[in-house]
Amino acid sequence: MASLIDLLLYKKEIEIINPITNKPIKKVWVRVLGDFELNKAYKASRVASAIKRAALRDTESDEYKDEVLGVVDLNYEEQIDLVKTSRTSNLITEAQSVVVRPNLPELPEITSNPDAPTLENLEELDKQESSDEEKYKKNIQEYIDVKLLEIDAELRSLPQDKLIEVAKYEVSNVLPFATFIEELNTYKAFYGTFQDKACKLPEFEDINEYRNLPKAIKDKIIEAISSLELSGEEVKN
Amino acid sequence: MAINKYTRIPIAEGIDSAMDLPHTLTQAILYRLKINSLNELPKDKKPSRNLWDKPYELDEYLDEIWDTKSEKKGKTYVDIDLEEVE
Repeated sequence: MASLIDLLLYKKEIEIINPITNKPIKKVWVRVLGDFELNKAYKASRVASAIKRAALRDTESDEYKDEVLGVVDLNYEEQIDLVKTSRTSNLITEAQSVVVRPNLPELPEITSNPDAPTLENLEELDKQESSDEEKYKKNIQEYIDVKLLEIDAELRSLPQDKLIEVAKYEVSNVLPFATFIEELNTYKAFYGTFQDKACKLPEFEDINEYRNLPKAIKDKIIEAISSLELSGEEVKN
Repeated sequence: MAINKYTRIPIAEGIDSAMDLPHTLTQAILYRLKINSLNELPKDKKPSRNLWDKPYELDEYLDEIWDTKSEKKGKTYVDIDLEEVE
């Protein structure tokens, strides 16, 4: 569960180290993006993932031959695992939508005098709330487990050539998602890295300046931004 | 200038407009405002917590409870047993 402190800690200073000499190069500030820049980052990342998806579904493309056709060389169990792993992230979203989240407990359910609750009543309320939350998380996990079993049974009933087709399709879904995340991180780092503490002077003039950095430096910036960012679920809780 | 007690970071530094607010903070504020406005509804019309973060289902629910145009909800209905009326 996120706290207010987590929300207010939205920027920090990091030291960039030369990956070859291991010596500090400079210090920069990273911060969580605002809505406007985040939406620009999402849009650009969706363009990149759409291009990747189209290439992976074009049987004549290099991407298809290089990244999708490899599925044929996997063994039976690996093909099944690939499909299940690919569908798991959608199942999590589906579970959050389908599983009913209980209403928050209210004082009238616990005490006959809700306008003057005792400390014990309030403790009881906290206990009830955390127990309901635990139950909700358990129900989500159960939903995912049951669905995965159903998918497993469905895949094992398919003939081999059909299973390969399904696995190919899943690869063409998973890889664009990876492209999307990579591109999103690139834009977050580009828009979210600054020379100054007030985060007004951008560190990079254009996105290619960031793209051309050594991987170790890019990873350090992205890790710093990720450590500051809360997920949607954390913000709501 | 406001300073965060725990992080020692001035929270207002560099934030000149709402556009500068971190998206996480904007999201938390908007979410809280939404819940507050839902909590203002009469008890029998409040959506369950399950709908709070499902905007489309929530829209459908609100359309349904405020739907005064449909025949069923637009008419006044009084439950009177005519046999008891003399």
